Amino acid sequence: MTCQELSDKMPAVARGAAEWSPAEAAHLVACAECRREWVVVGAGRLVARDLTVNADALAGVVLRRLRTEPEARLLPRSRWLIGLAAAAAVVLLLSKASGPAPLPRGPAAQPLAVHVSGLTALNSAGLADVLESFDTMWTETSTTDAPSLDDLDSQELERVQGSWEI
Amino acid sequence: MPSVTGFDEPTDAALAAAWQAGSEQAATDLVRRHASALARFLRGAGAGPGEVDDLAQEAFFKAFRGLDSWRKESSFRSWLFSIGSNLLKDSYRRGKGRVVLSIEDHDVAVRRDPVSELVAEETAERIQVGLSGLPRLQREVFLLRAQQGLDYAEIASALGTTTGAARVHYHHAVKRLKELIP
Repeated sequence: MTCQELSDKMPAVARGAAEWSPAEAAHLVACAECRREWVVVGAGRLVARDLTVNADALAGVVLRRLRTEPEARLLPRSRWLIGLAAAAAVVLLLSKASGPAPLPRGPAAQPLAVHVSGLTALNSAGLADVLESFDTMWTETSTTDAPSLDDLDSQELERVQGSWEI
Repeated sequence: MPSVTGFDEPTDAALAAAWQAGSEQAATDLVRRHASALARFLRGAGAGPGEVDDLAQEAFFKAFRGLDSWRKESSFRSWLFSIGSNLLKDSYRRGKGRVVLSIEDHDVAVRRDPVSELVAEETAERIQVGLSGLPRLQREVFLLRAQQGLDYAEIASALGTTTGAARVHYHHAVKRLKELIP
């Protein structure tokens, strides 16, 4: 006879579904820990014992609700759409979390090859040719429409000037 | 077991099937059969006096609406307790549930003459207050075992845990509650 065996049987004895055998009863008398547990289990059975419930009234309210409240059952198609929407939301969140979208790119820009070491040997006409070639290269390689300052209105001009002052 | 109460009494499963076939009387019978036990469990587990009726109503409502999800390997009662337990948990989360129980006038049992009964009732009150200091699972496992007489398998099913874990929770609950016994 062990305390564990007695412990396992206590709830059943407390509710009258089982009885102590003579050996178990003897153990209970001799073991103070088991006696205390027996008191706890017996008291646990009495917790909220006197709480009364009007079962018929409760059933009436529940049935009325069952009759009147619409069943929140989702159609399979709705579930599928909700799943799709959730997946789209996740994709959007992930794309936002990866930082700002890169600017659109045009054709790959040609490398700007300038041999600076050779510039010192040029006269003014040669330098002018080189500068002109820069303009040409810029025009050919630029993928953005760079508006001239003349296209800006006064507010935009102020904004641009402000950015230069910073 | 509550599901079989006699030769003339239909089982819970039969009543559930009858309700699904449209019998409101079957639903009423199920409420009559289990309402008191559910309310006592909810009260012991920490529901406030004014909250028990609402929780019980919601538990039955959800049970009848979701009968298809009742797997018959657990009893209707333990399944109902699992719904009640989840509702109580949600109630705590929303901050509506009372964590600390107090013994109020209407909770105190009508005392009968025998001294032993008085002692038992006083001990029960002490245990009820002690329960409020236990972790939720310990409290509910203890109640389902000591108050409702469920076995560990049913408790595990009701609370979504294992029989081993239920046994451990019960052991810890009893150990703590024994400290309240002089």
